[in-house]
Amino acid sequence: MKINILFFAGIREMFGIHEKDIEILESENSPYKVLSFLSEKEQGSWAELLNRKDSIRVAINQEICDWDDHLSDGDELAFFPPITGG
Amino acid sequence: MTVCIQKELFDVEKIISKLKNGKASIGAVVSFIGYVREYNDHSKKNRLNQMDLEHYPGMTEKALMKIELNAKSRWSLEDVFIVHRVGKLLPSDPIVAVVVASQHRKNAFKACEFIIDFLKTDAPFWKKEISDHGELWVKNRVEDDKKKSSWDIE
Repeated sequence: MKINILFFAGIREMFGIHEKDIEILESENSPYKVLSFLSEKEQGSWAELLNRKDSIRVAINQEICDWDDHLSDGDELAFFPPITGG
Repeated sequence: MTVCIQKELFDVEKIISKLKNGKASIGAVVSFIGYVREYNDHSKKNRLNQMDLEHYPGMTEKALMKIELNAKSRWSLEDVFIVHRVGKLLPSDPIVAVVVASQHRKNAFKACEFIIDFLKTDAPFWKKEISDHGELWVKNRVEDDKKKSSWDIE
């Protein structure tokens, strides 16, 4: 399945891109599984993101979610640091 | 209910006029305006030159609408307007305004504080501070999470 990954703030700077379309297996159907898979396959920034997992937030289709929530084909998955607006 | 994300400066007087707009049921309007501080550290050694505000288009609007709806479900309100700026800002520039109109002042005061407390933890904005010492993404504050949680027991 295909998902669209978005990065924001410090994470966007770490990856050097704002978004990326990724083809993943049907079995990689949660933010945690996607991150673990990419960390193993690509290393680099993905491995760094996995290391910092406890201090970052994830959202599926623009709703904050848990690392084990379900991902489907065509979903938008976003990684970002804790919010600091206002 | 209105939510605006914009680069441009906002005019709170105009927002209030728009909310009021001859509605005689409104007896109170409470507004909160947040500004860029010159210093973010107590030592006042590191003066800010610029602040860059990034957000997640689409999710930001949804998150703010959800906060407005939550406020409306807790208090009787006539109208709510939230405006938040993004892009490059300078010290003293206004960042955010929350304007709440209600029949009685208590509801407007409470709802305004509730909205800004939730905005700080639930609406996807990120601040980067630029000073002579370099660039730094602002860290989230534990106090903000505590402030938000305190509404659970209100």
